[in-house]
Amino acid sequence: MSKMKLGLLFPPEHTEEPIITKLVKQGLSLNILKASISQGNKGKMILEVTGTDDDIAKGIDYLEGQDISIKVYTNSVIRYEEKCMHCGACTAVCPSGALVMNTGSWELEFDMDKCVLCGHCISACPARAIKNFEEVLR
Amino acid sequence: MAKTISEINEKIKQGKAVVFTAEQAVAMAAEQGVAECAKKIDVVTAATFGAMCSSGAMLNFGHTDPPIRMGEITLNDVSAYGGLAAVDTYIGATQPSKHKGIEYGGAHVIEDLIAGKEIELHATSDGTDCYTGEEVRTKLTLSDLNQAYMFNPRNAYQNYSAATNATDTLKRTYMGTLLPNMGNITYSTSGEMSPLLKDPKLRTIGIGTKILLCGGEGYVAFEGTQAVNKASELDNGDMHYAGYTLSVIGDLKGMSSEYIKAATFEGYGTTLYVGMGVPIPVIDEDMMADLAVDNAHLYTHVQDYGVSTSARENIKRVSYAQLRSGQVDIGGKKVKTAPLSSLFKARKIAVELQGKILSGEFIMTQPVATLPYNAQFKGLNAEVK
Ligand code: SF4
Ligand code: SF4
Repeated sequence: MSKMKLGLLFPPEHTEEPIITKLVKQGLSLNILKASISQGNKGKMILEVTGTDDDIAKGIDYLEGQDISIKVYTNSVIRYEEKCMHCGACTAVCPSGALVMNTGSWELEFDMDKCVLCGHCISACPARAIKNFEEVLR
Repeated sequence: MAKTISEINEKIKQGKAVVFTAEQAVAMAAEQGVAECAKKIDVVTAATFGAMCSSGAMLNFGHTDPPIRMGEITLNDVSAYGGLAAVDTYIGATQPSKHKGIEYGGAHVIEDLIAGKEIELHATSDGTDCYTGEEVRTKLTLSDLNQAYMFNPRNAYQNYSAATNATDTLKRTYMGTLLPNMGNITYSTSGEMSPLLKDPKLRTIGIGTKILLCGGEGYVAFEGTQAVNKASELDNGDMHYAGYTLSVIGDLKGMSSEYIKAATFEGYGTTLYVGMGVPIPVIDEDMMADLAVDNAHLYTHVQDYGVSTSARENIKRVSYAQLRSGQVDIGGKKVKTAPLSSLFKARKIAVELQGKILSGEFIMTQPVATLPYNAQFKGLNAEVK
């Protein structure tokens, strides 16, 4: 489970309701820290989302599809499980031990809490399975 | 008590064959001994899943009306070879695309074809009397192609040097990102699971040996390029094998996205992770003895990839057990190790092949010719700028 703070900027035609419902349906738990949304004006919201890395990534994908601009307050890297082939190339450059191979199953393990946000793993991953949130938002 | 491949195949057909993965065979041999295992086990499945740059696919598009003799060919903006017959091409894994460069290359085209995705073909030609067409641009998928087969000149490296970087600058290589001052070591062989380390004398693997290639049925086509047979006996009696390779072939249409992965090595290029499973029949006790060798007795050299020379100095001989332990001692310094090939996927392939043999779905083939056991590797004696 990961937690992150997102700042959302809505176009005027949006209201928050369907978006919140949709994110919750996608398996995220939400904590609205701040919201100012009124009909006909640009809306703003600061949201704390908690969920698996995959669900958060999907949530962000969804928001982007809705024409909402997003700012991430707590930066971090995100690994796409389905793209990861468990090769271990990223562990060669991770200075903090956030990325390590499980030497029993030889699967990659990612401990987000240990990540020091150096970003080395992003370019080291041959499968491009690790992305910076900023990059995800672009 | 030698067994032949056809005797073992009979047992497979009757559902009586005993099939172990390479790792299981190693473990059982440690417990019960080689002689006992040679009696009990019929087939051992070896596997690897690693970056294999010398890979690509032969494709035939079929003819348009009017026909075109395709000269300049791109697939999703990646150049493919136009020097074959009118609508045949070969797309190589490491070819970068014209606009996205190494982030999307030939390997990605092959991966997308296998995944059933639509690919854009663009081809131009000067036109001839019999092929009047001059340009074609169309979308196609794997099922639209007449033939699409992977043909990889060099795969399944028996053994490969581990990499470190003794210089004081970071190096981006095909062995991954190497930190300065020997900050890390990367290695890329599945060790005790590696097909050619399990049959190092090429007693059972030969031309025509049926294998699992990227999840589908494939065959050993020939000796791989740059293959070299070199085995040195160490003081403790263990063998250190150098890099024999295989050229392999297999139908793209039977392959699965699970066992192939297009990849980009930053600052280096595009490559293809290829998954391969090879059945090794336990024909006699000597064969079992080779199959029983574990990571503690299989070796490679750590070399300095910081220097650009084809004759890199060996820094240290290490066993795969040491590499897999997570760190290696080099001159008093504990250097962190990281794999580049996926042991997780290699294991999956070995288990899948084991299942296919047990169910009788996969029958072994008798090689039609043996692979030469005297391969030497020559350099190119020419000036380079
Ligand atoms: S950003 Fe740095 S610390 Fe975090 S996982 Fe990647 S390499 Fe490790
Ligand atoms: S380098 Fe990429 S594909 Fe390999 S284990 Fe790390 S995240 Fe997974």
